[in-house]
Amino acid sequence: MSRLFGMIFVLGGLVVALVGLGWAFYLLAGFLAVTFANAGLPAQYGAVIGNLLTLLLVVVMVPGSLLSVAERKWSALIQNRIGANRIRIAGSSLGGIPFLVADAVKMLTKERFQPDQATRFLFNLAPILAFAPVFALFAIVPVGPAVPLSAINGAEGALGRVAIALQVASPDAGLLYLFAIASLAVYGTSLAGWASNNKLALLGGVRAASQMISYEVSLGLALVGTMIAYRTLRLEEMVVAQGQGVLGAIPALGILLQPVGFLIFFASAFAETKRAPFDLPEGESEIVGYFLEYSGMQFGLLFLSEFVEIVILSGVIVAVFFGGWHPILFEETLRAQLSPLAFAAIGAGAFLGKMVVLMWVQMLIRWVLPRFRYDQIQKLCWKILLPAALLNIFITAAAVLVDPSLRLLAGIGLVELVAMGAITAAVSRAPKAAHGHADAHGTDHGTAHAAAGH
Amino acid sequence: MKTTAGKLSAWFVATLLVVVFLGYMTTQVIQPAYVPGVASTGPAGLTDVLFYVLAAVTIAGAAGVALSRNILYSAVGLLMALLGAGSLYVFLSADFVAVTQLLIYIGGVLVLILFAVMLTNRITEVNVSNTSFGSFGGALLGISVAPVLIAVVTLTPWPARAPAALAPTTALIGNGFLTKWLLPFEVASLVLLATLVGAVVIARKEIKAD
Repeated sequence: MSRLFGMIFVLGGLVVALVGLGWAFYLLAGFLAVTFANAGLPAQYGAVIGNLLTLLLVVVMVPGSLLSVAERKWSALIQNRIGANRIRIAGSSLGGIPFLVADAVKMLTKERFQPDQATRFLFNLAPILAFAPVFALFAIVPVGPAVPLSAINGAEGALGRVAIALQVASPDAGLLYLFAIASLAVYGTSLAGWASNNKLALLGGVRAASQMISYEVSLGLALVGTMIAYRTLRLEEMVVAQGQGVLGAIPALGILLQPVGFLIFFASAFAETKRAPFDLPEGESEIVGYFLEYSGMQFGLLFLSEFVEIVILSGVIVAVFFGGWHPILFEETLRAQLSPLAFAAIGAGAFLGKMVVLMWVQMLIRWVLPRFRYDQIQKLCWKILLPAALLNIFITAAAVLVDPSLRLLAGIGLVELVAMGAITAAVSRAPKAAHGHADAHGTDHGTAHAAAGH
Repeated sequence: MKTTAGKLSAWFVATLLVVVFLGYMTTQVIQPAYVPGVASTGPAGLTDVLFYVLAAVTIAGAAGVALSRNILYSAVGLLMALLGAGSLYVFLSADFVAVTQLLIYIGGVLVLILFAVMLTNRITEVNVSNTSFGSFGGALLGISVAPVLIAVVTLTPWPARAPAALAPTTALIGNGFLTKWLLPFEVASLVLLATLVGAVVIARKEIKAD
């Protein structure tokens, strides 16, 4: 019982902390906007700089680096181990968080080693090319709704009407920007593999390139359905559209309108992050991977970009499929009772909370599922996900054409959700018949990964 | 065509054709009467500096593609050139085109080129991977084309005007493709489909031959 109370206490503390974080982000963006306006510059510049600092450095980098600790602790949880706990501060291992500092010190002080006859320029360029585009992706993710500046710090007149949103940039092309920048990430991995002058690294690079360009296709097509349903490419407009009720009071969430699109997008984006079950480019047990020859912080960058990809993917999925900053529960009451700033802070907190849950789901998938064989990866992409995505686009377009109020689409989505649940239940009830088969497939992978560690 | 004389005459004919074509194009371009430019030359702002930096990146990348001995460096040069060109579109308030350039040329075409290059036989031997040939004919072509290009650059009245403000264009472009310009759009997709089918046919044949 005390354990239950403890969990409730921790979860409540987390929610309050996330809402407070959102509140602080708004205050900083508002403060910088007013400062810039007083200095004679456009107020939006200040808000953008504040958002750059808070969203890209805090929301992306902090969870990105914390995930390296979380991976150890959560994998230990899944495998019934204790996990990293040997660094103790005042007798407490603090949940393994000091390992973050230890990792950083290790990577930064390690010798930067260059293999003989490596292509020096490309060898040094590759980690940058792998990290930078991933980082730039988060710029279009809307973490919080737009709030007039007067509600944040009481600015008056025209300045008070300037809307401050927790979003760095909002290009008109929206999701196309996302796809375009995401497609740049492949350069880092494939060039790293080539420039290392190592056959195993080259294999890893080639595998990464083939896998990523294949899954880019289904990645893009999976979101076309949501574009049709919400009639926009901008993420913040999609989030606003998800707030309206569609079946009675049930909001038009992306997961309700596009369950198939969500599955395809999640699988393809997971493949783009190159983590198990799609970790062929890394392939610890066979080829070590495209970063074989890297050491020190260059390896750190390649490694960190993987974790940052997890954070970004969670953010994008929350914005497109899980209602973004809409708290969903008690939304109307909250909006009516609280000040706009408090409501926006709760929205930002809801967004961050959903992101945390999705990061946990990704970690879970990575440590629970066995990995695919190489041909299975290509088969999954070209023979299952791609036709499913095309069919999904067709059905969505037809449903929207027949009934522009999205009710028909929501009904279809509901049927699809039920069908998915039924199929999952039917498949998961069969392990007795297929026991030998399952055994042959994948037991040892999890433990092999754990033993190899990072 | 095996002899030197045959090669030379072929180069001369090619050069002549190019010069005639470019000359004709020049007359077409310059026909609007030459008016001394009334370019508003204000002080060089941050935008101008950015423009020149991006233009320099584009040109340096293009030069790298042509001059590099290492084919991977050429690919990276092409990446720089395409990125620079894409960012120059932003200066023309064409953000949709810029993003599309990034998506298709850099994320698609160039990645495939890189992929093919990495699978090339003897790729590790840099010297054979990107040799240059026909330098005499190339120089001849360059020298004969240069005056025409210089004439175009100097004689064309380049109107200097501020680009339109960055307005949302995505919906307009989409509607245009599916209403007024539907036929060209569909024809283009048909051409791409034919290319795809052709690629598959060629690839299948090679497998059967093995």
